Amino acid sequence: MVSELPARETPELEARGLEYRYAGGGFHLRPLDARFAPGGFAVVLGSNGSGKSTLVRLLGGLLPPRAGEVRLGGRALERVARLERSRTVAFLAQDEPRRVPFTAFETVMMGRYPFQGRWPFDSARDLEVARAAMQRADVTHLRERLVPELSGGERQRVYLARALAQEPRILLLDEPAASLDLAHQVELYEFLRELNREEGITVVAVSHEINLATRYCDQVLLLKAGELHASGSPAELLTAEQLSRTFDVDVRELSDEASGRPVFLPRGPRR
Amino acid sequence: MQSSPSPRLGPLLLATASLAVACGPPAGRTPHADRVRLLADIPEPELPDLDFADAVPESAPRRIVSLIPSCTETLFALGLGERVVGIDRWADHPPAALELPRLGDVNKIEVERILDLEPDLVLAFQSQAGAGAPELLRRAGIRVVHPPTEAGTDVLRGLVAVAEAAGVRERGEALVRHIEGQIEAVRERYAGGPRPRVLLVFERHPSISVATRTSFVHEMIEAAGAVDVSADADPGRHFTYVDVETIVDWDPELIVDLSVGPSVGTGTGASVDESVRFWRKVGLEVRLVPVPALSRPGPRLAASVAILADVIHGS
Amino acid sequence: MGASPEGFQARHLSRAVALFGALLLACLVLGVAVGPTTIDFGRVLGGDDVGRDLFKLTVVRLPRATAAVIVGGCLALAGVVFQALIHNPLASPYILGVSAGGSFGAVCAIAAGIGLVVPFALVGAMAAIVLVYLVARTEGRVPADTLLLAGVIVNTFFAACIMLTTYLTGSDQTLRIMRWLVGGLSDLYEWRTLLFSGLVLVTLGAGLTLDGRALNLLSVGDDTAERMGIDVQRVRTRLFFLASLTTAVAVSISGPIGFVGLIIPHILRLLVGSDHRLLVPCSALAGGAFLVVADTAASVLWRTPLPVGLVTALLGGPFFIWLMKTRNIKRAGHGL
Repeated sequence: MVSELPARETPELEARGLEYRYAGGGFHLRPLDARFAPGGFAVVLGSNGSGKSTLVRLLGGLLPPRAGEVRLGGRALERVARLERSRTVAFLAQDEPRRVPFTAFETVMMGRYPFQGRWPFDSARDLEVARAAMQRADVTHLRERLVPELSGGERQRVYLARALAQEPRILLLDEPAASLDLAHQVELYEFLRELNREEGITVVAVSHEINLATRYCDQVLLLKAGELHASGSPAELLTAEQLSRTFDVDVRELSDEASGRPVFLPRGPRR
Repeated sequence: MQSSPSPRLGPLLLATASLAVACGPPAGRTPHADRVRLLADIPEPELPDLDFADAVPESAPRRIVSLIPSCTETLFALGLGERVVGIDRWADHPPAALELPRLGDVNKIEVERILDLEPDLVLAFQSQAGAGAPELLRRAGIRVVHPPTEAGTDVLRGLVAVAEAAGVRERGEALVRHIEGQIEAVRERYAGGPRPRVLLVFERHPSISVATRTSFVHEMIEAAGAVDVSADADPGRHFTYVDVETIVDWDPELIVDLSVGPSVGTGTGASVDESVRFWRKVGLEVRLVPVPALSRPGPRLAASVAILADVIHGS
Repeated sequence: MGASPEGFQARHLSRAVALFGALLLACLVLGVAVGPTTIDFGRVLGGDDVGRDLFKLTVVRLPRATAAVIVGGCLALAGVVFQALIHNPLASPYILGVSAGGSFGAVCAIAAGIGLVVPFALVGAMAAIVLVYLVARTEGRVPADTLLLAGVIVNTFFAACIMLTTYLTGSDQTLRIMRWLVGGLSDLYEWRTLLFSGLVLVTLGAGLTLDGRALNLLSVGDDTAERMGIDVQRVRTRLFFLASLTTAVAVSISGPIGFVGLIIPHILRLLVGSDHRLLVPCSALAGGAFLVVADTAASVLWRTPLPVGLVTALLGGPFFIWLMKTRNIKRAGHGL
């Protein structure tokens, strides 16, 4: 990130006894504890309906927990002012709106909202940050285009740029690779790792895909049916056994000769 | 299925038949084709034609705009017809007035066109007293008067007020005396005879409209030698809506329906055919009279009373 | 009018405001110059025997044209905000019940024979605002769709009250009531009234322009707005009240004039885009220009001057249909 400003501290993100229930019964996220160390890269894995999206929304303060709390840098998230929250934590949804009548540039500029007051004109700093964010996300050439005219991948990157324009210390992403083709998926994770390593931004990404995301992370959380099954480093947690249990599929472990890392293949229904 | 009808069916049929007969047709009487009659040759009431001996004072207004149909008639009856330079949208009498510019009605007063005519007196409805247009005219230096001519007020007093505004108060009083005399004459003509119970209907849409005791229409009916059936229908209002059942309860000997024919501003004219069909269903004695002017306040009051009396007693 | 890469700057706003301001001024002049009778401008400017013509210009036409500008501006302003808050292209001051409440207040005053209708209309409108809010609020939140629903319900309720009151009054007042309900500018406005309502319009217009970014975010979606740090429930409530207040002021001085608050925002989106920092002030200016032209047209189109509410409805309906057919009606924040 372009900044002549001193690097800001990344606060720790923590979930304590976090619980959620959707109105009308149905899905229930059972009390959950998790810690995301500053500058960490965590991936939340699980099948659909396991509570991954709910968890990451709770972490972002977008859903009010039924019980428990989220702590940001030791403070309860509710106590942190909304604007301060938005300056610290950015959230990229799985399905960002497609049909908005704004250009890519205008969309990215919206990410500056937490820093702007009522004064309606954009400051030089805002423009600079937005420009840098667009460059980072490689969408500078799209800036005059209207969002509905962009492809899925391009749109995703524009919204990523918007998230970056918030100058966040923590980036939460809900299945960011879901609509991307393979090349862009790799690109995305490379990018996230770069952010993570170069700027110490904590990344928490939700994925339902086993192999790619887990290459980049240093923490894995396994969710199943609203419960945190296990949490730990990829090396510890990513075994055929664990994954089979988490996804209810028979998973086989193979080895990638080039990197020596395990690769997991779903082989068939769980026995 | 049994081969013969159930033994209970017979008594059931009988009961249903008796019920049908007992209830009868919805009206109080048997409908009869000739109870409802259209009186097509009833004349329009005429303005009183008085010769005024006195001259109009110099100070009297010379250019008068009258936005109230009855006031227009009054001005002509007072012999000031030539001084009227503008009338309202709905005025239809006297014929001499009808070519004059139409400058508004109870809803909308055309301020600019009135200003162009440079009147020195404008007569407007009482209900417009607080509105913007009269105030604008006043600010332009024009005298605006709101004579008490609306339903529930003493019509004859209203006539005098118009005369006064026009600078000819004595003529107004003479006119009123004349009218009162004419009405008295009608009253006496029918004094000794039968006083039928009459209902006067002056609008049928959206609902049947009749007058009450506080309206001048009530006095017209009484002066015409009849008993006003709807006098106490709705105390506190000059006229009211009634439904067919209430009319049937009142059981008037005669209904005079003035709502047929062209409407004048406030009402909606009803077609003759539709009215005939309607009243036939009710089953009472009805005369359709396509002269709505008969229920209008104004200098033709006496003439109207006389005509009404003819209608009521002549049939 | 995308403004990258320089972003949205003062000059963008001032350019647009100057443009629409000039348009407004031109329409205002038109509204004063044209009327049901002809005025000899040569005489007026020449200065001789000017009395009656000058009176017509300054006392008959100018206050009324000014009122048209204010009412049009208020309605368009409210329309823009409502459409952003409710994500529905049909959102308008009319549909949310505020107009109906104001009309009901006015109708009660007329039925009671009271001449001064404005304060009653204002009270009625306020009552409607509060009622809509109370009906829409569930569990301390005011979701967008509930707000629309509450507005429609309150609208229907007051419409029924109006009909009832109309039916029960004597027919001398019925015509006055009908006249009010069609929605038209009165013949006479006190400068005091115009000053007060004009001040409200300018203040609220400026305030809502400052809320432009928030409106942008809200128009995209509640989720997006929350993520950027907007307290959506509170901001939506506040904006709803402000827009309703604007509507109340308009309705109290002119009765319910329809379609202005509905179509002006859609047209302006085609002209200046969807950024509310521009859309809000330009809609207000354009709304004023539109209504004064509509009122002028209403006064010369027919043999006798018509209430402007008729003209806006007759023009507005087909125009809205045309906009729909050319696929130019979008939900604020969504489209194409």
